[in-house]
Amino acid sequence: MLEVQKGHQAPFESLMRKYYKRIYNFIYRFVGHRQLAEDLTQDVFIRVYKSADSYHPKAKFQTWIYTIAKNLSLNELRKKSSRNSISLEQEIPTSRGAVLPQVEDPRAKSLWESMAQEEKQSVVREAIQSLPENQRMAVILRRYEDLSYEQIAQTLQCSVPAVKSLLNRAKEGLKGKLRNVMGDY
Amino acid sequence: MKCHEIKELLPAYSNSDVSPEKAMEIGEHLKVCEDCLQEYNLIVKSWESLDVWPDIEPEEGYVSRFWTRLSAEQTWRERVMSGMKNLLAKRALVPAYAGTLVAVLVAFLYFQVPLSKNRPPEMIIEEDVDFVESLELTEQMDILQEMDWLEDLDVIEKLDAV
Repeated sequence: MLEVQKGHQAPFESLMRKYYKRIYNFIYRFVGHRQLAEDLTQDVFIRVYKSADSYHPKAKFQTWIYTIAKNLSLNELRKKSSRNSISLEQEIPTSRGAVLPQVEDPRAKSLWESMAQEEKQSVVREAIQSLPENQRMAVILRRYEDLSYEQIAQTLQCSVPAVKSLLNRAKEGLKGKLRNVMGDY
Repeated sequence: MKCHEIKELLPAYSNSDVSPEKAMEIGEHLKVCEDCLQEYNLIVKSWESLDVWPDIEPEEGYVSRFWTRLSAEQTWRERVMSGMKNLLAKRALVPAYAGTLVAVLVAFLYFQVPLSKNRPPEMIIEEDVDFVESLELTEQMDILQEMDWLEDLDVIEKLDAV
């Protein structure tokens, strides 16, 4: 980041390659829409690029960028919900182009299993989407981004006990919604 | 603790986020209470089941899309500043910048040298004479302005006349 502050484009691009996928997935899981996630991820990096001069290495860069991503996603969701036009995708992204090769490959899962897997993904996605914003954010940061309680607390700008409380309530909520998915676990 | 109290603590227990004493008590309770054990397994398994939602890949070309979008969003001033910044950041160009700076400095010093040095001697003498003359005139004017005592002389003359 300090190299980026000096105006180098190459370090910024390597920073982008390192974090883009993580931020993209974080936003995608939060907003539930692929194209919106793409736009917001670009917004995050534009924000990072433009505020590189004012960046002080007080917090870890990772926490800083997740905070920007969180703020932009929340703003977008609130804007959308005020317009009452939010629509969650029904697609299962991992199923694109993955089903046919699996059917042709004798070692792969059967079509039936793939469909069952897609169904599970869909249920998990809906369960996460149904959580309140803060709980959803905490779950994504903990379960998918593997952040520590302290890092989540910094990102969500709350205390560590508050993060633990959010996660406990989220677990309670997910338990009821994912009852049917848990056959294989 | 009773079952409902244990159940309230199960999410925290699954995070290893309860005191060692409570953890021991909950552990002992789960050995004997089928209902609470089932509840605990549901919490653990639902958390594990989140794995079925894998990461997705961003569309290719996101880096070039980023630069295009940034360029479209920047004002002309931001673009100029950004270009300058990029130019200054290139270390290979440091000798060129230094050379240019030295050239500008030399040119500045050259033109700062008094132009009189390049003039013929007679012109310098004329210029100096003019300067000295005007200086003398100014001094005389100053002396006249400071001659308040002349007013006193007028008064004495008038007294004599009376």
